[in-house]
Amino acid sequence: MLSAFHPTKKSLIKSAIVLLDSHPSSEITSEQVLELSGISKGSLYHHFDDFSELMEYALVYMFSRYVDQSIEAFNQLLINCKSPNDFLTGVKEITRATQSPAMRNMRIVRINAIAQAITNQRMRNLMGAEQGRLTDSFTDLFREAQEKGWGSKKIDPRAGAVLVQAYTIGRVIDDFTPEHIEMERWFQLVDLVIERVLCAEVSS
Amino acid sequence: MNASHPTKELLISTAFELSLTRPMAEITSDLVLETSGISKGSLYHHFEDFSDLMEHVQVRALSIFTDSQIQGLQELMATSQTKADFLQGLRPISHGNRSPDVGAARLARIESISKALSSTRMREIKGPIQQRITNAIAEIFREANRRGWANSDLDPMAVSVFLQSLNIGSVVDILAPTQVEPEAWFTLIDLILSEVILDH
Repeated sequence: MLSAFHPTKKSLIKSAIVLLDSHPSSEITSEQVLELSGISKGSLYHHFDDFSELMEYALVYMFSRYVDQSIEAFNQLLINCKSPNDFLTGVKEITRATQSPAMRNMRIVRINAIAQAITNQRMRNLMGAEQGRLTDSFTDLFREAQEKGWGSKKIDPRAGAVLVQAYTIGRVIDDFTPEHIEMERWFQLVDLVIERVLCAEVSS
Repeated sequence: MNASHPTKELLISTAFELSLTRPMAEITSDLVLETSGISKGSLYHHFEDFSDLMEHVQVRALSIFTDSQIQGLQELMATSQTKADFLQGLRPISHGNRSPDVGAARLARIESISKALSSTRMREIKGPIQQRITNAIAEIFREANRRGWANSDLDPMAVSVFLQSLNIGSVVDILAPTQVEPEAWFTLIDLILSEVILDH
């Protein structure tokens, strides 16, 4: 997680993430990041081998920062909800937020970052470690939901953790085709998977 | 989808064959020229640059993958007599084979999708090919509905994108240090098929 880094390193990564919100990574220069963060060139090269490494961190953490918001939302839901039905409704709401049209860009950034990690071992190591942490977090949440009797015990928590991430990212398959599926029909299917498979014991 | 000129076609097919056994990044122009026996001059006569050739290779890979998927689905519909046959036949498609080879193929597919998302030109070429797969899988579910084997409340296009998204999106599991047990993943996919998609 970003909070584990040295404040200077963290500040550089955060500034690069801010720039990534409005520019493709190829257009971002070290000068822009230094200006925005107010950090010196010397410090940048103290914390990173080169400018590309800083951008790799930014791409990986930009996405995981957003996944961490979902993880936190699930965490709050587990703490606050009182009944299986509350839980089911809450899970559907959080899922809706992660699948919203505004998240299309995030999905694309993620796929591009993964593609980059395939040919860049340094980035792959970084992304692999972060991905492991995210899947572990979802796995813990799923296990906790099972313990409360809200998550289906028929499912391996880790498989459930990969499933929710897989359909969120994999929907990118619909992002470059001439036609697109209807969002409401997509939610209808995803809601049914949540209801009948992930939280099966709740409805039965 | 064969390119018109035989030299151009030989370059694409040689690079495509090479891509079946190694990552795209390891395929160099020297390797393609040596394997095909074609001169450097000819390569740059038929292609703007080496990455232009490699784009053609990706499109070729996507077309071949698409045709084989569609053929497999049509055979499945032709041979299934009962809902149980259909479920059985859907398993290999939706489970996604989880061997390391297929892991490499899935990574290559991610690279290819990434290119389609970042370049208008590639999106215009690959978008319609991807649409053919999505439509073909949706058509299978429409037919399954007619036979009373699937959940007719669901949109066949959404089902098609969902099943593909699981396959593509499980790349997150390939990247992580620890992987899901294949049996646990198959159990989950089977539950989705039987409790949601084929339930009616």
